[in-house]
Amino acid sequence: MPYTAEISRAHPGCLIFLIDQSSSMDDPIGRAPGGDRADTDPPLRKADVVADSLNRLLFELSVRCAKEEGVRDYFHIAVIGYGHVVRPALSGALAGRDIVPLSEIVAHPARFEPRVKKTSDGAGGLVERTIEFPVWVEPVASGGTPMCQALGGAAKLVQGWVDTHPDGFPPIVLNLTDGESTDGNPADPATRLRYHVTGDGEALLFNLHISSNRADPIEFPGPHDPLPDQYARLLSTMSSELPPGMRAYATEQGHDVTDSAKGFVFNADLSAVVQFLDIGTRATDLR
Amino acid sequence: MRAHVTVHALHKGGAEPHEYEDAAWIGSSSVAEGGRSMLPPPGPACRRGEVGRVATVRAAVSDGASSSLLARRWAEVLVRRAGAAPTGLLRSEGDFAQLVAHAADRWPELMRRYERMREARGRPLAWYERPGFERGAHATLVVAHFAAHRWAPACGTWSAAALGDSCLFHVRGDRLRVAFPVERAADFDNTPALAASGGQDERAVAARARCVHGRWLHGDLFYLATDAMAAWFLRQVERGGKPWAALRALDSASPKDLARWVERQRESGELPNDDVTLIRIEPR
Repeated sequence: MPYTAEISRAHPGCLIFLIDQSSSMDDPIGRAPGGDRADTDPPLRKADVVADSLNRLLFELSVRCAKEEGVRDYFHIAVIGYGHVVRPALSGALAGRDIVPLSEIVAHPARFEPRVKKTSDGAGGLVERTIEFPVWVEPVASGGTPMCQALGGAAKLVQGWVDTHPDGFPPIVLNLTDGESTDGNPADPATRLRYHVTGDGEALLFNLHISSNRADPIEFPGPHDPLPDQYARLLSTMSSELPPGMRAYATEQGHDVTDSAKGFVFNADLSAVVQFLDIGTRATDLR
Repeated sequence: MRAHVTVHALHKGGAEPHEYEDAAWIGSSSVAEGGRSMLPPPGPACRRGEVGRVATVRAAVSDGASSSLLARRWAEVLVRRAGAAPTGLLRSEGDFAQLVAHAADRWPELMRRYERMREARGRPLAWYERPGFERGAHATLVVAHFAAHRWAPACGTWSAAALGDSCLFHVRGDRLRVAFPVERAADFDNTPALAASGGQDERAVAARARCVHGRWLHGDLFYLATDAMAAWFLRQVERGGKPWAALRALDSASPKDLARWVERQRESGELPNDDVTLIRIEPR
């Protein structure tokens, strides 16, 4: 059965994040009516939401893979930004690197920033505590949306990975974008990217559209579900189906997903971005 | 009563022995000498022994959830607590939930000591450990208690309690009499009930815990196993096989023999790459 290969230190998984850094990412993100944030809160920029969500995901992955002796390299990770240029988007000591083992990511955050966290006071109440939160990806918003070039770059990384890990869990590419490609139709490079296979299945491509609209997200639609426009239909068609393990996890998280649900979210708000990254990186049990 | 006991433990393939996250406990008591117990070291381990002239034998296995930071430490706390608990706490789901709660009561002090130990060794908790440390650990647990009949030789009663998918099997002759608490291989999944070190609602634990009891006769075999081995055992039975016959080969196995046997099962897809823990008890 595909998408069941073990993920372990001997057989690590590969996660490639493509983040849209075009100038439109400077716009505020849409906020669904009745969302978590009050309407009086200042609007978040889409670039901030993407960078923050990705930093949170890298933080959670680090925690998930932490053991007493250190962080285990269950995953190797690349973050590629595309805007005025297409280039690796990790900051600090990892700047310019593409695929990096998780333990190196853990060892080299670009910086730490203080964040207030609410925790239990042990007596039924909450206390606020300041923690140092690691940051690896900074928000950027500049230039066009060279999605085809970004997908082509990801395909090269995918090819290199499947050549060296022919029996492992296939690489997972997660594309976070707010707009249409400015360098051509991304459907073809997306198809070419998914051509790369391991013994466990073809490479997975998931797409997330970040919205400026005040509308509820459309999450993990079926192939025939109605979508609001041609652009949404294009991104949905480009997306792989969620493998069974991720479908089961999405269901656990309260999503109503069909057997042929696509790894695609349209009009994502902050919580949808965080959930998309969480579901899209739950491959199999870690060994 | 007397009992022949073997304990097998092996870590995941590709991992180091100290990364084993199950725990096993075996103990016995006699009226004259009080209790004795044994917690085998992390795998690969093959321990065997004969206990004689004892009033009771007790065994427990626990499977620490790999997603927990200190899974093995919590699994060890659980089996020790289950080994030392009054027999009454194994008789009903509500009592067993109390046992789990008592184990969780010990966790905060253990963690304070652990944190001090890390600081003393110059390796204070890192930022990526702190959330897992605060979330605590999770593990399954099954414990079985065997008692001799008051006056009849070579027979007696047994009782077991479980939370999650660590299992007990009772074999008599060439037949599996009891599979507990999971009865079918297909019922193993990734979401077993778990004991949480951070404490849980006792009623919720009681609702997911299971208890069972029965009688044993001379020649009966009992196995306690964590999920990977337990699922293998049930699959063999469902195919008409007799896994206890295959496991007889391990009775005199060395740790290397055990590792080779498990590796063969893993390569053929019969066993997932998970920690393996198996206790065999033959009461007489």
